[in-house]
Amino acid sequence: MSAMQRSTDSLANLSRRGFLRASGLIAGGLVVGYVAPIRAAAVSTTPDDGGIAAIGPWIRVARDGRVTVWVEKAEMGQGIHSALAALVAEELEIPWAHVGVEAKSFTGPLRNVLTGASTSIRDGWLPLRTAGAAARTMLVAAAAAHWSVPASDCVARAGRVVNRPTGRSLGYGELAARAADLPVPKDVELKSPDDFRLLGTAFPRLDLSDITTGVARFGIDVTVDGMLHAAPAMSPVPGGTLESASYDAARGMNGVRAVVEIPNGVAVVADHYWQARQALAALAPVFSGGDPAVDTPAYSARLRQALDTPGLPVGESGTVNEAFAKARRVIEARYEVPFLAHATMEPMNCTASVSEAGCEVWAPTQAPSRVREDVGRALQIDPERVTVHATLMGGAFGRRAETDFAVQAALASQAVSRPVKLIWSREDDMRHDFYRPACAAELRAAVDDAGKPVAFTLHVAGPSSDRQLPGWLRSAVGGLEKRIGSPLAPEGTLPNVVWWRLPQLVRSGIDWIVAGSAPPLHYAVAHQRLEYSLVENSLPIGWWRAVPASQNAFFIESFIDELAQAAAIDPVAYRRGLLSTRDRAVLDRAAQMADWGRKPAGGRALGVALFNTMGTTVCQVAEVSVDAAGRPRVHRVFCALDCGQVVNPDTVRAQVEGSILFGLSAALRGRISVKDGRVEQGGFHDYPSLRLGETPEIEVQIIASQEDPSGVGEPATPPIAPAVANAIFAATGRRIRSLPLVVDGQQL
Amino acid sequence: MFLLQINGEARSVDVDGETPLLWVLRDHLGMTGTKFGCGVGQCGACTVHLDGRAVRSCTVSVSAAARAEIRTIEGLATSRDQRIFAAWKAEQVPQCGYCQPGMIMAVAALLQESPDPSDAQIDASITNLCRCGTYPRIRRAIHRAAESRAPDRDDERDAAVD
Repeated sequence: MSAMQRSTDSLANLSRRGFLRASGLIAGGLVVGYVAPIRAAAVSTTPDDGGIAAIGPWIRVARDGRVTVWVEKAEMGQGIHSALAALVAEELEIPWAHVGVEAKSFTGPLRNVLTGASTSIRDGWLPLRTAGAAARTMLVAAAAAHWSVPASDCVARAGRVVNRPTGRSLGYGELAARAADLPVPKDVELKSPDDFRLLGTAFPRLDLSDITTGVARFGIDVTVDGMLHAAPAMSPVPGGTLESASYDAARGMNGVRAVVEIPNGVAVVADHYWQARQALAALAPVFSGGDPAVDTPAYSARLRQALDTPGLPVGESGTVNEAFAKARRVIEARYEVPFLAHATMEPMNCTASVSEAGCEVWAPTQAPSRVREDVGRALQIDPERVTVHATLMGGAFGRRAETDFAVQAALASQAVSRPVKLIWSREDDMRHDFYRPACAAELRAAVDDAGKPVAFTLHVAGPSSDRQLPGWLRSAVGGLEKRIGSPLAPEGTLPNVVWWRLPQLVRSGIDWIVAGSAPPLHYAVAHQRLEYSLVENSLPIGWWRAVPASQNAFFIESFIDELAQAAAIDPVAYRRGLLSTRDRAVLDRAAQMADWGRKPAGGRALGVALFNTMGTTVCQVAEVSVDAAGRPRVHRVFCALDCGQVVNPDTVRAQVEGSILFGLSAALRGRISVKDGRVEQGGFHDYPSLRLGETPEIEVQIIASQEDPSGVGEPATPPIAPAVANAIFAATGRRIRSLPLVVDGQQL
Repeated sequence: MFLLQINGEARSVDVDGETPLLWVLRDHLGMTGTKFGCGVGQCGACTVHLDGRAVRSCTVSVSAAARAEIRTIEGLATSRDQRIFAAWKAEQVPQCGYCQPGMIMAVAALLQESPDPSDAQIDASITNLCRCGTYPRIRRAIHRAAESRAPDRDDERDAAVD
């Protein structure tokens, strides 16, 4: 990588308007597709009455030199509000103590903004650094103009511009107004990582003080003048509707203002939340109809039955059938995992205020643009009249990319013509999730004489995340596609303008959330195929931390361990020869950290797992013991990862620790089961979450890298389940092929 | 009508006596530092102190709480003893932070009773849930807070020397 990185492509031929548009385009969107241009008029580049100058859409400089960075990505504990501000601050040459961050509200023209898939740093890496560098260049130019000296005489340092020959300096606060009027530079130079002062250091997060003292406001803490409170009830069977309710009983209770219908449910609106909750109990709604979810034992049976016949091929490299036909030995195994809940500490909630102007929403959301679209549709107004203020979130993990809670709040507000804050109970939250799918997999490997894999297939059977088709049609389409071995309408079979409107299920047949993408293995195996079988279940599925990697890593890394076992080769050595140089370094580091190859004392054993997702390779070694009753205890986890350049190593470590514990909690006891067409679990008593007393010691090492940053928030979740399962095998000789590891205190 | 003693102040609220203290704090007094996580005492996000003991405020009615001295995270945050907050900052404990006020209240009660708790004592008494996985840092921060000197003890020592 060259010492001075130019961002010419970002700023080529730019006027100020173009700069704003480019910054917004690059930094605003996860999905590159339709992105509306920013209207320059919507962004101020002149000082407002507060003596604050906005330089571009991201940066605001106050008279006292304090810099505020506006961010569009949502903070859910991954520390990106601070990390994104740091990208600006580094290039802007401003001390961290002078930096603040503010979440931008979403109003005006619709733009596609989403926080998820571990992309915030990847998305912001160049555009925010470019914005910081451009602003710095303009501040230097403003100072140079003020002193009537060439810009080359001046240097920006620690929030001031210094005239090197004379030693005089001016603070950014004094220069900002003038700088904002200057043309945006066509071309800026970004710093070499060798010159970073802030990035790559463990700078403290900007928001922790308010969080620890209870001052910080999450979605559930929002207060709006004149606000009422609502508590919803939703059909326990997916898609069911309200059949009857004791309206008079509810309306007669203290503080009750209205009983409002919401999709597949009903909500009570009252002066205070507790009143709404009590009145909801008195309302005693009865639901009927809907499409019952398939009970868990029956679903397991259907999943396994689907694996008995070939799935729809998702992608193939090499010539898989030929390679299997020639194989000396074929090893196969089946695995299964359950539905999982997100169980964020802050239950789902949203505040909405419908008025003549449209709708204002305060939402703990990962997807403000989806909220605008779905609320607009529900209220039958132009989504551009929906303004969204994205609040802090008490955990998200993918759940808050959905919009159900926002639509409910908007409808409640519309019904009473007042702002309404709608809050779900823990039971609602557990029962009306968009779950990590339950799925089963068959893995097959053709191995050579040395026991190494030469061909591999992963066939995943599971539900579909399609929401456009009714369940019976989804099932029929999926079954037909599986039978014919092709999507019903592959690309090219219809004119594009028609084709794009068809459901994904019909266009490609695959479901990335369930099957992942091809090739399934990160190992060097020439012949690989991924297959998918749709097994219908009406229980809604969605994005759960790491998404398909959360189940595929368990399937694949447990199976690789089985192959190593069959070949009588050490599991680390087995993997080593199949990895790229870069990934081998991650494996070696984790093995070194764990002192792999030792025999731990006290009946403990080691298990290893390595997985690559969202651009990042993570390797974990778990040190586990198993008691007489077969219950595992995880004592230590050693984790190495290569995530490219690191913005804040402490934040990365925190995310890795958190990802591991999130995955471990699920691996040990995570299980959402269905009985009588509905979810059984309703809270932490029957969906237990890991507590402090069971937490292993975790060691994390980040491999030094010059590559661009890759994902950090999710990739450390997938390997922990197989690492622990593989350790259990090493300790007991018992191969774990399904999760969770512990059910009702007993090992499965 | 209930008269509550909260963080050293008398506050009066007009609510049904069975309303959980949690919702009185949040909705009637605007004190949103105390969080709602489950409503049935399983997660600890709503932890406050009643007469110095850590209690899950979703399980206490306002009528029962009216007899006690109530302390919330807002009160702890403005108290003289900032050791826990300092430790939380040094270890950069929070991720999303939603569980942290309740966690800190539980820790404050623990340190009041056991100024230098062992890991086993920490395991047994800190049962608040965190879904973000901040537990390793919580443990380190508790030890750090325990190791730093309390302001009251300093004053007493200095006074004794003088």
